[in-house]
Amino acid sequence: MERLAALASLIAAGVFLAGALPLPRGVAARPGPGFYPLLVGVFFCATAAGFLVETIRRRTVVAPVAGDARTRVLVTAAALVGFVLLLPWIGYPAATFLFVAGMLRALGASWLLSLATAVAAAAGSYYLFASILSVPLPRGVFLD
Amino acid sequence: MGALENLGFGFGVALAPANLFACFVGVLIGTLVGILPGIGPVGAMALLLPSTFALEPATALIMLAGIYYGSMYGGSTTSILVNVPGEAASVVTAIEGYQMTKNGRAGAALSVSAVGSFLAGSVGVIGIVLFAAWLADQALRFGPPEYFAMTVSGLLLLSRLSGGSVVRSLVMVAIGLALGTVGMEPISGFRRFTFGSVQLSQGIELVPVIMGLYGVAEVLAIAESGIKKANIEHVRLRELFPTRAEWKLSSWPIARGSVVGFLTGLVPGPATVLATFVAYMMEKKISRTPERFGKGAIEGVAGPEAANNGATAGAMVPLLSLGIPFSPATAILLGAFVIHGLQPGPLLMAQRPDVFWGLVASMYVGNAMLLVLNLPLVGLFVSVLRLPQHVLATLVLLLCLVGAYSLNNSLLDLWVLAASGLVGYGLRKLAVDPAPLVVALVLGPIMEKSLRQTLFMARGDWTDIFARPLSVALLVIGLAVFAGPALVAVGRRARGGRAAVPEAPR
Repeated sequence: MERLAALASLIAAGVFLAGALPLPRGVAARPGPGFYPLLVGVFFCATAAGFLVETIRRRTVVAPVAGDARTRVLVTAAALVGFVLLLPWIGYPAATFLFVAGMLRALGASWLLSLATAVAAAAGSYYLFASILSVPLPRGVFLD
Repeated sequence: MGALENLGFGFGVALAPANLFACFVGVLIGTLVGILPGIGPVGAMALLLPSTFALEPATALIMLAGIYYGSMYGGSTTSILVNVPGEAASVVTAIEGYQMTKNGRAGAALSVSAVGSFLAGSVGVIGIVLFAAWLADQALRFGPPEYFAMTVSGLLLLSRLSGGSVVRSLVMVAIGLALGTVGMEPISGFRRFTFGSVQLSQGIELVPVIMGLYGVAEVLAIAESGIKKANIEHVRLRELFPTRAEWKLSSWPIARGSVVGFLTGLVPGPATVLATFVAYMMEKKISRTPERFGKGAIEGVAGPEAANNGATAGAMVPLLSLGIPFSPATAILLGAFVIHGLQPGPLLMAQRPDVFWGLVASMYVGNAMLLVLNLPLVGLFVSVLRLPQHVLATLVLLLCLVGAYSLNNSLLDLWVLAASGLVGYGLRKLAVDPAPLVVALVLGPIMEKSLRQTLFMARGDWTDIFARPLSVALLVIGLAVFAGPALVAVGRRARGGRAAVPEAPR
């Protein structure tokens, strides 16, 4: 897990550096937009490489998350990503209802508590943000 | 006495009804998020930042700052009563504070910590008045080389002091700097890494990153640990008064903690957390009865509690007088300044005295409110912990989503939020502090601009940075603290002493 993170940061660093290389660098007396990203890219690669070396030389065990705990984390993460994916399609009230009900149910709340909270949260927060604070929340296919 | 007059003017601003109310709302929210383990001061400030758009600049900043120092009170309450630190700066308080609760002295611990926090807040305000004015004066002489040296030094210090592996902290810095290059660059407006997206050309928004790394990651951690019921002690009001002996034992620790806290706050790093550890170790070391520590020594509550409040005041100094935030919390305050079209820094005091002095004075007012609010209402606040945790976690996550969306009404910010949240959860698993990433994201553009201006001024001569005594001094301080522990270890090994190098605490 640790080595994977180190490897991922090294890849990210490489991609960043590759993206920084073609930018116009300018001359020393008049550095262009590509000058500083190049420095950052080199620094990024160096530190990420150092991180990888550290994980190889000294292995610390990251306690694995297993069983129910893992399911709860995955469900929460899925609810988060699902909300962002669905928001532009089904609109804020519907997405919020699904999000709150799904997450609460997955975290162990009863059906009654989950659904009641979901209705209250969807209606209450939509009223608060869209009507009072006039945030243009997506209304989605159901309300339009 | 110019400073006194100015402070008087500041109180005039802070006591205006709208600002007084904002201050109250801020410290109330601060107390609540300090108590709730699900969301810390940084997440809460990020969450409420969008709702301050419509307010006057001074009012908005007074409220956000109130959340910051208010959380220091709330955090200690749960540390003492239930051994659950609401946020990191109260971890130390739990050591002695919870023991005192077990000994039946919970009320005394709460009072001493509230009074200590209040006194430290007052010392902090005096400190800001003295330091910030002086530093702002000095900063007028800072040129681009000094700003460059300061950002480099600050990031080095931060990665050293964040605890854990230094290499990992530096990777965090690198990620933050890299994210900071996205969008239009500060000098010519050239678009970098935008992939043709209009939204990306505005750069990566700080607030969703912070909400993700702190708020969403915390919710994921709660989901992992499952739902626990807190076991809450009951505190009766008449137990709130410490005995005369307890007051006597606490008075010097409070004084020392305030000063140490303020000074720690000036240094880049996790100031509030560090300050509590320093204060605790100090009290234990100079105590004539160190054996009482660990069994409910009131000094171990008084010192750290004063220190974390002192540190919140100290951390305001670099932000207000240099315009440079060295912690995620002050980074959000910088964001609030910028949103309202203000630039904190040496000129703020002269250009917007209402904002500068109003904010400073409001910290004093807010601390007084917190004292009144916290002692009688302790029981009420703690009962917040009885809220079912899954409901709380879900609602916090929902608030993060709506908050991030309402910044620019953009889906991009939601994706940044989700990605930061998942990364933040991973970082917790790896025991890596995300603070260097956040601060680097904010400092990156300042660093680039000052570096390029320096080179431009010196006609491409790198060595110009080293030709100015002030920038050299700043760099030397940063490097000394950064490399210091490693050098000491090497020296010890060379002398054939104990080769075992203690690892930095995780």
